[in-house]
Amino acid sequence: MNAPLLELVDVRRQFSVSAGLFRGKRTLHAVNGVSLELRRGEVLGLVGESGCGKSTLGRMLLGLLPVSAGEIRLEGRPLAATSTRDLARRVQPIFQDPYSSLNPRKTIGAIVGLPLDVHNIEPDARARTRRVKETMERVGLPVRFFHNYPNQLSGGQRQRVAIARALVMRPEILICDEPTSALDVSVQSQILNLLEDMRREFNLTYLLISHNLAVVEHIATRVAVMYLGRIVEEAETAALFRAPRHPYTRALLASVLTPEPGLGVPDTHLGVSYPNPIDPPPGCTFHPRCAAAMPVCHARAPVALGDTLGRVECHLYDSGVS
Amino acid sequence: MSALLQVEGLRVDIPTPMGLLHAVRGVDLALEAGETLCLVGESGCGKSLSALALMGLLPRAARRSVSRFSFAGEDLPAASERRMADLRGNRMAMIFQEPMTSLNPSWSIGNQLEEGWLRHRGGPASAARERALHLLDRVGITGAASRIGQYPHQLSGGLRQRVMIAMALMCAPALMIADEPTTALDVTVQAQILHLLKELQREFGMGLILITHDLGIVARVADRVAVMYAGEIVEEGPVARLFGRPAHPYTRGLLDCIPVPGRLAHGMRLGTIPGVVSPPIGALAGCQFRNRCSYAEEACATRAFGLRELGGGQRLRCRLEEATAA
Repeated sequence: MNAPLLELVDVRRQFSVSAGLFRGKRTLHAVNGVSLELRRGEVLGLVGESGCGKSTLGRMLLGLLPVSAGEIRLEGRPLAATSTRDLARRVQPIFQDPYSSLNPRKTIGAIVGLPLDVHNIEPDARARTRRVKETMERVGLPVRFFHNYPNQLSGGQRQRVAIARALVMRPEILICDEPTSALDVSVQSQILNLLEDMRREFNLTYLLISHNLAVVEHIATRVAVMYLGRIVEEAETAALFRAPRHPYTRALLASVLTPEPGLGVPDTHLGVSYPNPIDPPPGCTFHPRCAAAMPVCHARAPVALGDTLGRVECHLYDSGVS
Repeated sequence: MSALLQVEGLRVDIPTPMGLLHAVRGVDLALEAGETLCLVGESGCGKSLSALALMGLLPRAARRSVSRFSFAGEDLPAASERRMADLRGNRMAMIFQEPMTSLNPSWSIGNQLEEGWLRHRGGPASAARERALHLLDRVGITGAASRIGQYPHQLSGGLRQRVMIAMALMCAPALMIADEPTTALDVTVQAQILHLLKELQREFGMGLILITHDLGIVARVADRVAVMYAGEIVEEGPVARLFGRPAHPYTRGLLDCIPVPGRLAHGMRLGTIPGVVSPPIGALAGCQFRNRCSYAEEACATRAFGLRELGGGQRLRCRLEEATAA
């Protein structure tokens, strides 16, 4: 097995939020003890509902947000000890909304080339232009767009600009946060194919953050399921989709609407609401929505149990709990 | 049995700096009570504008024309704005994609729920409050009595969409139009909301027009499907037939684009539809899909195609014979 390219050790991130006008500050544990490995060449899918902390995790990996506790290591070296420039050379983001993540007043050439300027990587103007144009061609953006502005491009073309901007640094890792959820299905498939081509061509490693399980199943090699700031299950993609173990994973998979007429809309039995992350339930944070909850789940938080299949954090699989 | 809704020749034109945009170009729709029709297509295909045209909610600049528009036995092509206002929120109701922008942030949800009832039914406020509480409970909002005084910002996205649904149901409409009702929601919440919509549809016997670009949703909730492209219906039919034997190259393209767990081996490429929708502006001839279609030939650029029966209720607007679909 490869050594991890990126490693998270008990990473935590807290935010201080106002609980009301006169109630002072309270602590929100957005990421609450996540340990995870990203191995070279893999696509790790990170799935979960809004508010589970998956985007916060992504921002910490990009160095945009410091960790509150724990450590992130890039090839064994703490991220905190890595310079911004080094980090940006190796880890690049692709965000969800290609409408708001591109500066409307810059040309496509300037947007794609900006990371090079910021990090002073290709000081020679001609070499810089060549590199930008090469990257644009690689992602299927006609070079004639070099002097165009984002509003002259379609959503799919804009997302290609975002991908070109990330690839122009020749990074090793791409953090893709919902890269296709703002796009039409026909454009989504083009972008997913492109991401897969780029991964092979440049030997990239992806962290794919998404709530679309069909997309994750299609391109991820391994999946981590996140719930209220913790990874509750992790497994190879095929194994996870064949035999999900955590009740939450099972509910997530049950809610995927595959295009099969006649099956109707599944009842997920999840209850109405996602809990307020400021006020997480005691014990296992999933127990109020869990159909398989036992008395112990109300009282004690489960610990992660690792085995050959992966890892699951649930009392159902803990032989010490009866 | 006469249909709940029968629309023929619906057109919507919008003037733009580039010329007249023919956003909806002769759409025919029919819906029975209790039936679900899904309108599906990419952004800009005219599905939302068709719905807004039915509700009489088009932007001011848009021009609507329709040769036949009958709803619950009443002919409405030339209905006054006042008559449409009497029907809206009463006999026909609509829910939108983004519940945050369609709820008024400065009104309590109780007031917003009751407004429509008081406008259409009148009577004492206590009756409206009672109905609102009943429906909030019915759409799965626990503790309705404490929620009813809350404001939209105090609710999660899923709860807001439930409030929107309760609001649409206040006057027990005969027709509900839902425009991408779950696009902004998590998958788990999406399944719950759709489950609820179908349940309520059965309970109230409503006709439901659901607009979505998600073919997974279409397969699971529709009785009939109409696929729209550049303002026209290019294929329609019963859901099982349309997914089982899609005939239009666009329908087939859409189905090939979506990742389906277990369908493709790992590392296989998804299907794509090359190019983008070109907006139907100015004088149009032939099939608008032709420049993205791998079956296109010369005739497609000039000939106008009508919707042709393929049998089993399936209709196709394309020169291709069904045989090529197999």
